[in-house]
Amino acid sequence: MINLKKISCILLVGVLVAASSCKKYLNDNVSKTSINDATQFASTTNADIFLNSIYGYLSNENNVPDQLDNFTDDNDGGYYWRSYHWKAGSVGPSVDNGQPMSDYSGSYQINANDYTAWIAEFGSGSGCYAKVRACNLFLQKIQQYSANFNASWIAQRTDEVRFLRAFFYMQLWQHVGGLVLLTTVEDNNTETKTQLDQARSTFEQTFNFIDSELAAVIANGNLAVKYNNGDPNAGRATLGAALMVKGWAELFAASPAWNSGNSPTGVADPNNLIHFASADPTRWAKAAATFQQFMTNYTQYSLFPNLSQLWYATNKYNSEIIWDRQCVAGIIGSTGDNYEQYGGPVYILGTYYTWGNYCPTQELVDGFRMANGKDITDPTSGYDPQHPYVGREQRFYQSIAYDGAPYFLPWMPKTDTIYTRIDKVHPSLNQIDFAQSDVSNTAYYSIKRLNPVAPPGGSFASGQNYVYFRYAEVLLGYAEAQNEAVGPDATVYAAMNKVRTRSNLPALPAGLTQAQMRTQIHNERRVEFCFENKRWYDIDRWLTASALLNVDRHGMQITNSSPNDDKGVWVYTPVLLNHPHVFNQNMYINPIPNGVIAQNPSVLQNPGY
Amino acid sequence: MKISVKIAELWRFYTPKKFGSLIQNPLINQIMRICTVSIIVLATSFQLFSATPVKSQTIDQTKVSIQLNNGSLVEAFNKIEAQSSFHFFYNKKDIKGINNLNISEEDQSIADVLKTLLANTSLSFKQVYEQILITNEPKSNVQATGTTKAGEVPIAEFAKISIAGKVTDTKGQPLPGVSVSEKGTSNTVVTDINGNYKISVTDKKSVLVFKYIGYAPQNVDVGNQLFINVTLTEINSDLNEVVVVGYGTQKRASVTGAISDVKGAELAQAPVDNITSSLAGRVSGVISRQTGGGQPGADNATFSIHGINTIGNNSPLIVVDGIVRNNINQIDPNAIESVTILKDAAAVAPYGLGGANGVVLITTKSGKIGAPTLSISDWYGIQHPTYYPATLDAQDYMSLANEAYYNDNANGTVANQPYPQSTINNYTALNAQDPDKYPINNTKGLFNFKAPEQSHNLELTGGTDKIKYYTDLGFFNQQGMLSATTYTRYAYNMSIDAMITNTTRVVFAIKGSYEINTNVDPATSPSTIFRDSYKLIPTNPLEFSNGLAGSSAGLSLLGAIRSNGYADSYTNTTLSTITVEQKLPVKGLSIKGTFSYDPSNSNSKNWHLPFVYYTITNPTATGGPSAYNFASAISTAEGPPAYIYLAQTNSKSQNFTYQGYLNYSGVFGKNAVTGLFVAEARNNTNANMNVQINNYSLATDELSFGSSNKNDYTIGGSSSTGSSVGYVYRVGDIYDSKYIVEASGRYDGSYYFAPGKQYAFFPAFSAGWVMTEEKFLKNVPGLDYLKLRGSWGKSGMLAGGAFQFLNTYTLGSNAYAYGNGTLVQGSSASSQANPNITWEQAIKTNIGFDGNLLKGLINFSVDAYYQSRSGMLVPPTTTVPIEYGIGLQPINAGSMTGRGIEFTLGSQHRFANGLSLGATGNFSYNTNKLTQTFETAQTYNNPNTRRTGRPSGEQFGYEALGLFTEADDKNHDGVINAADGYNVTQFGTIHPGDIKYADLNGDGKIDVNDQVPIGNSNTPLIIFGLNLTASWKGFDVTAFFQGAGESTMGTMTFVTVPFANNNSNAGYQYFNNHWSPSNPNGYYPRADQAPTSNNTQPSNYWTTSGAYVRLKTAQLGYTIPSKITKALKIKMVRFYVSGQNLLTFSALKFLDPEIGNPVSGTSAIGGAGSSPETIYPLQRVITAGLNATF
Repeated sequence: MINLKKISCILLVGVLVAASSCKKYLNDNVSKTSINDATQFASTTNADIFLNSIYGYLSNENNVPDQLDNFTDDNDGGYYWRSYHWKAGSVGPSVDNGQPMSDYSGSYQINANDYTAWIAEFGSGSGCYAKVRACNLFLQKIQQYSANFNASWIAQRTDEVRFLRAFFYMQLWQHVGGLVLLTTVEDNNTETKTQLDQARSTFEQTFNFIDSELAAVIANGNLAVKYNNGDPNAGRATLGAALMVKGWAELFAASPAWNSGNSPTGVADPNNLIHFASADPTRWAKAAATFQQFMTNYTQYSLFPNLSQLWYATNKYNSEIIWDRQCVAGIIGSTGDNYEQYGGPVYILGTYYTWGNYCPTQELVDGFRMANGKDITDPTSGYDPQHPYVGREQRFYQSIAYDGAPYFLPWMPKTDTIYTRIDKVHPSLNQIDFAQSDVSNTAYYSIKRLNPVAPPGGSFASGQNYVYFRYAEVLLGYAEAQNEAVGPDATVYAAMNKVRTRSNLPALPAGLTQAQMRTQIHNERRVEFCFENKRWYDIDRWLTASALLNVDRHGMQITNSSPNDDKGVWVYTPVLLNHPHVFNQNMYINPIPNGVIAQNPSVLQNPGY
Repeated sequence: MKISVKIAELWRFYTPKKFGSLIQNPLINQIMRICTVSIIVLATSFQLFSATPVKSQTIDQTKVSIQLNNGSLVEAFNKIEAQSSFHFFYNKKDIKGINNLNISEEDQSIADVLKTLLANTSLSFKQVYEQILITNEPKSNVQATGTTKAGEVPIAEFAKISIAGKVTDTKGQPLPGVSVSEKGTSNTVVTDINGNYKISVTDKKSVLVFKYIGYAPQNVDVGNQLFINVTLTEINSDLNEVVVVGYGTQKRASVTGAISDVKGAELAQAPVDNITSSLAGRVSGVISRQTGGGQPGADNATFSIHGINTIGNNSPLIVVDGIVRNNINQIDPNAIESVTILKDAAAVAPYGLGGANGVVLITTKSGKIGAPTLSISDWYGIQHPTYYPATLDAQDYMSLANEAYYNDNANGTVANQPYPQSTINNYTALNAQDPDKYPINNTKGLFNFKAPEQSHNLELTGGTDKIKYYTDLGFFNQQGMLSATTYTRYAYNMSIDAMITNTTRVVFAIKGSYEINTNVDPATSPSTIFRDSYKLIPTNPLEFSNGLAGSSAGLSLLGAIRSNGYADSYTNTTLSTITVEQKLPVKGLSIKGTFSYDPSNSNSKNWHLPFVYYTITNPTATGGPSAYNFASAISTAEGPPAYIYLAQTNSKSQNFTYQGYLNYSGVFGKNAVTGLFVAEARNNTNANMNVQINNYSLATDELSFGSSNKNDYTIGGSSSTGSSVGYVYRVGDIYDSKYIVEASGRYDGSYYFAPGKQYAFFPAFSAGWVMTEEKFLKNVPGLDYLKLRGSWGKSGMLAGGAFQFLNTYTLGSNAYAYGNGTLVQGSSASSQANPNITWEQAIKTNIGFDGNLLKGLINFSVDAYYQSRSGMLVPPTTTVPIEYGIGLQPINAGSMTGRGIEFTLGSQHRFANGLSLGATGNFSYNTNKLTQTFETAQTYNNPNTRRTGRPSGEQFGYEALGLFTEADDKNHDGVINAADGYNVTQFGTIHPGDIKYADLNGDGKIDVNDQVPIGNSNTPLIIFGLNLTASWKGFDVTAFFQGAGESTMGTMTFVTVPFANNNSNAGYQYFNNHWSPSNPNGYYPRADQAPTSNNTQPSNYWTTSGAYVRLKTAQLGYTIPSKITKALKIKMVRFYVSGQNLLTFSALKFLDPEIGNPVSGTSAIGGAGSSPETIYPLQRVITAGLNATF
């Protein structure tokens, strides 16, 4: 009993003692989920961990169900997508649901009413400015802790990050024009709201910043020109990537949408946010020179012989790849690749496999030439509208699954034939669909970039990289810039023919006018880069979107003249898709999301919104 | 009333203590016989302890020191009284004139002193217990110690009579603080903590008045009595109930804070696995809603006290048996004695940083004095969903799809319409011919609409005043609408409460549970399965006629349900406490030490097997189902992997609590004083590890059978610790049973914050005034009792998470890959730290009345409160540009005010014929207002959209003006635009049947500047309950209604938006009520093949009132007459049937209003778990049960 009394006293005393030593008691807890500044930048190994995440911020477009091509005249992904609402003209600063690019963060949103996606491209999580802040922070910290690193490491990593920052800025600049340009880490503890609320730079200043940053990286020469397969550094920024992005930015900037002296949206742009103040045709020459520099100096790059195998995981870092986002199969998380789940034929061998999001329009199909190099509109081309898939150029068969197309990839047990015709006797699951199911509304499926070994399916089955730029773009970029700057000289022909030759097309006929060459180049880009998310930028910068997107696109209805027994002939009739096709002139540029301006009133809205 | 006048009774009452109270209790022998061996051993040893003689006071042994110089005998008596517990009884006449005494005694026994003092008188003395009688009797007759025989005390005619006695309640428990006064004089004393009093009265004609709050006053004629024991009868049992408050208990009568409480038995009426959903409406001030749905094991309600008072976490603190334990799910409702809700500052101040959202004190049952009682309580119930969406059948689906096709395709043709009219018309016949090609699906058939649940509980309790014990074993099992979804809980509760000495009490309590949650394959979830069942296109095969699973757009509902994969978890929770309480030699002072150790261990095992379904490989075959060939396929359409994986998680946590109490209670004249000081320290450790291996070749669910490719491994783990320290005090004084004042508070510290910013002080003050004790209300007929209460104080809330003051980097895995796909780790800067982060603070003011009318027939309680919450954690993101590029940790800058009123009104009456009727209702109305928050200039500058100054949770959207009509399309081109004179840009192309919005600022476009408030918060402002009871001759009936009001619900869901998701069905709610040229008065917009941007904007077109009233619980019971049960040697047997969620009255006909759905949540239509109808439905339960006591 005495003992029990003692116990109770001990309990009481114990509590009081424990409580009185509470200062230590509370401070004994440490956060085990995070690391501090000094540790993060204690060594090159540690600092590289931070940089790895910046590379991870590269958008993985493979995981985006609503590809940018969906916003063009090439693809009709159908209902439920942002692009569907955008094409219906539902666009505005507080209509966040349909801006092209609004999937760049890699987040996948399929609903119409998403009020966060577009703004997310700017700020939160994986948006442009989150990426930029990480870059600026890295650059600041490796200077602050420079004693922990060797000079060559600092030099190389600095250039990698400057390249990445320029690339992130470029991605956003293409969609909204002049940007708030930040090169240091903003700090609300030391800066006033007025200091934080920076205004947008002009379109030209933004371009100049991107261009000069890339120029500096190239001039520094700290990076490798190219990493080949097997190199442990493969996947990091290279001089090749920097020069390619520089050339593309210059080509984009030189284009009529921004380089005509007029606002592309038709609404005055007094602050020059979305166009150059004045037209300057020499901008084409600048782009041509950059591409020329690439072709001359970076001979490590060349066209890969087989276009359809370019993306295969086994062909990573092949000679054509200039800049790509790394993907690893089967790893849970954002480094995977799920492109196959979203597109390609919906039914394969009678089984549902994909969501059917990549449905080429008749307009795109018509862009492919005959194997003899002639346009199908050329009466001498040999094109038969009732046998439209006969005798077409190689890239057609490499890119498009059409009615009757044999379809085989190594993961399939046997070859399937894709039928999209309306066949009442032998109905096919892939039969053209005029309503809202996943099956194609156009009677075509894109088969480009599909992984041959991974069956379409959940959980990031494929490990193919997402390729931002490949060498064909150097060639066609040069051809376009040079044709605009100088005209169709021999170098333009040479560049064009290189690309065509790879796909077994004959050389271009000599004597084309500048305008004829322009048409050839524009079509070459459409066909060569179809389903690579290039078309949107092209019809945007060429100012052709108003003409192309304001009209309804077509699908191919294939019916039998004797529908009940298939004993007649198959009749090919292009039919209207009856899908929204609004393109207002302001849609050449995205609006600044309402929330961006709400939080920073110094940011001006784009003209036209 | 029972007044003891005879010494005989005194004698019986004051049984010499040395025999121990065991002897007093005739039940002990019985207990000894039947108790478990361990209890016998324990009890025996305690008896041995108790047998130690207690020093009884005699005048022989009690020593005093006394000096008198010419003093009187009275002075001498006074001095002795002052030094001892004895009291003198004498006749004034007898001692008159005995003066001039001189005595100097040091440390002499009273007996010796008295012998000296009385040596020269005719007086003699004797001890009668603690009284010393001075009599004129011959000395030879007087014994020096002990007592005379009963009845032999000769009562003389005293001039000034000294009366002593004890006041008890009807249960024999002493009543301290009873005012005892001589009628007609100001002569008043108060009983001490043992209920004893002493008073001197003028003469035998005096009348003593005994008064105590909540008891009927009594007048007693003194007459010849020296000892007057009084038993006071309660006028209202409520007031004398002991209620559990923070770190202690109080009589309800002395409570000055705003609290409400409910008996566990009342909560246990509803057949639920935990009490979260049965609190609302039972007690005033609690809002609880089962927003998470009714999945077994995951159906707890979210609840808050006094409405919504912060934009952050509104969950109250949960305290189980005095220890902060968030274990409300692990406590079997059958084992709950009572639940107290602490609401105002005075009540919550002892919880400091944990108290601002209110506190729920759960007290589990403990042993009761009495013979061993064995009780069983069993029930068995059948569950049925309250609401289940009706989705279209094949024909209606096809018609609607065609209608949408023509709406969206101005040039649509019959040839291309999705479904030929002939198929629609002949569908029934086609189905009869070929059910595989033309299926008629019944997705409802996939789910069990009669899933059983059951509960069994066995309880053994009993004890003496020395040792009490309680044991309880509970089993609960709930089956789900899906066979894989079950919840099972084994719960136990044991406590022993022993007085190991007369001053030492030890309580050992251990309770715990073992919970088993089973769930569907980890690659899906019940809500995904519900969603897929609403999505299923009814023309696609759910199941083929041969029983194989079919699919709809690659989703195989049946494949997922039939998967042998599982996601099971097993959780072991133990809550153990040992308490040692020691009375100290200082009267009224005691110390108590409590230590609790609560370990918990949870294992989960997730095993995914691919979802297999079948397709017909020869769809053109003729001859019906038997001619088809089938091939299997794996469903991967929305993410389930095609490979097998196993994921296992183990998490452990341990919580330690140390409490040291110092308790005081004392009576000083008319003041009854209490004091409490508690030092409390808590700390916890948590650790978990998880592993997943993909690509199993063999379908054996063991980690060691997994793939050997390291790329298939995911391994993770983390650990954390936490601690807090607090010092609690409470001091109170009750003056004359009339005025009550109390001060309480806590100095509290938490590891969450930066060193130097860890501590805070939270004081509170409260007062009560029993107005019926005042003259002006004393004689108001019918008014038995009225108390006015008021309180003011501060409390806090630990918001956010730990370490938000640190700038850090977060490590992640698999950030990128270089070279040949070599995965590398990454890290990213965490949100920018807020070094000044601290707690939220609430300042609460409460004023209330408690009252009883008409002799307890009606009791009521009314509270009005005002509170202001400051330092709310608000994200300051709007203070920096979006371009800032990183999240900011929230800062303590938000504030809001809340005010509300709540009342409880109850009545209970038993009629002469035995019919007993009762009704208790309560009503709470809470409003709030954001007084400071971060918002952009854009929303702030527009009076329509300003958040500041509006209630938290107010919903914003566009003002819908209705649907465009065909008449609006003046040029009949099917499109409404400027050509029709409509110059407002809405969202894309608009048509007749689309929603028209008000362009409030007249700028010709609908954008964020046109938004207005479109409804209240989703959380109801009003919540009320009404409990009706009746009993008569063994029958008892209970009906409990619960309701809510003033909330706004969004109505945009799967069933109101057709084809809301790709490849999805639509609901009859839409189908029967939608606009079309032939049904221009239909409510829902025209049919489109996919939701259009225009018609899915947040607007008041998609809102409705969330008000509802539901018959939450109804019960009919019958207790078998005791005549019959006695014969069977059973104390009590009762059978009952009860129902839960039996009836619901609501404006919403297609959705359970309790689930809630914010209007702004419309973006989530089609999301599993986020769209309200994909939430596991709430259940209506019909139960039959049995209670028996042996």
